[in-house]
Amino acid sequence: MLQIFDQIILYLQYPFVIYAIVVAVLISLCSALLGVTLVLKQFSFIGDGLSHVAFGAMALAAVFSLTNSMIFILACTILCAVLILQSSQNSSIRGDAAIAMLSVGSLALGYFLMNIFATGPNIAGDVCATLFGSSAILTLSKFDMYLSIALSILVIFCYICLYHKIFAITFDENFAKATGLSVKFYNLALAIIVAIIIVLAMNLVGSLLISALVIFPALCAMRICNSFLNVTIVSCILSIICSLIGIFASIIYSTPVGATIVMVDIVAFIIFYIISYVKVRI
Amino acid sequence: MLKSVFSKFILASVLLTCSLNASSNEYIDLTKLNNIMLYSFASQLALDGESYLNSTIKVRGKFERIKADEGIGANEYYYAISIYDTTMCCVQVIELQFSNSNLLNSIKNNDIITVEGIYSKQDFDGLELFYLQVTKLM
Repeated sequence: MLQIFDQIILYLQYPFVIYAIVVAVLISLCSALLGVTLVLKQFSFIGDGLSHVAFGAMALAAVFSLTNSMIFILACTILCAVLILQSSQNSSIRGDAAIAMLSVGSLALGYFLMNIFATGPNIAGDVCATLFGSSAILTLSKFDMYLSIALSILVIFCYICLYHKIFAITFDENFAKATGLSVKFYNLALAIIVAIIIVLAMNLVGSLLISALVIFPALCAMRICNSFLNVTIVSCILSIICSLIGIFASIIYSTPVGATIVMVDIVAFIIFYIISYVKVRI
Repeated sequence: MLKSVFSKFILASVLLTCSLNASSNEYIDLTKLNNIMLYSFASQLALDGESYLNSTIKVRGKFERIKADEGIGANEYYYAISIYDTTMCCVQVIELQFSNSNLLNSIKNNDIITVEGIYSKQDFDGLELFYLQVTKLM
């Protein structure tokens, strides 16, 4: 135990570990905030779809040798988030079909482009690192780090300012519309915020595992809490704790960061499920 | 109250991040690090080399002798130490330069070696390149 503690102290001396922890905490917080809304609106798969779009955008950025690819990926993902929302409202291709189409199409396009226009010899490595986020959070450039912090603060600020509106459109869109709220506008704002979080979370857990970061904390909190506010708060705290445990476990035992964080989330869900089961029985 | 807690938390995170900087002229022993940390540090050496300039670095990895086929420095041999990440799918290299050819001659391609050297920079046809000037082979 002391050895592990000494190892943590040693690793915390490296600035990039502190950067990773700060960014991971902010990303987890943002994911948990929006996760509650997405789960309640049954939009969980939108995160999955957008993460695959982000992978395709990343491949395009690599083909065009863009230095600051995060901005390009952000722009593409936001555009697709808006498209998905528009298609779900007024198109012959609706909801989950539209998400599935964009999702698999982007994934295939991304992998295809990375193979045809390979910028380095290790394509499998690049794909693996982006899809599963093995150590991406520990290898952030200073620009990516500052951008992640700025975007996270923006997302949290927007959520706090729009909290009541988000609450209204989450539970009863028709009533919200009847009270004069511009549901279309706030759904669009939500889609853009989700897109930002997806791009940020790609650095932490990779494209394929982003949904876990969004869904699991919300599902855990819903096991034990009854109000929207309590679910949101517990979800945020849990997400931060699981990410921190995941990162520390990963750097101590040399495991992939993304997968470790998701494993911790799964364990947390099992624990909360057991607690809620016992509560009901009592 | 929620807004107050959140804003204090954000401010603390930003201040903590801004106060941290890697410093040059240090002795850094990378042989104490595990796989994932070593790979991450090697990535930082590539991304933010200026912060580690003139530091003495001790590192262990696979020695590789690479011949550039085209581009800048074509048909010349370069030496590097390869560091793989935890899943063995990604690799970072740290270029090595040897002022003492006896050290170089004692190493074979793909040997696992431990070297100590000064992290330096050179200008190569307008490109800034970082490398480890090897002083000791262990």
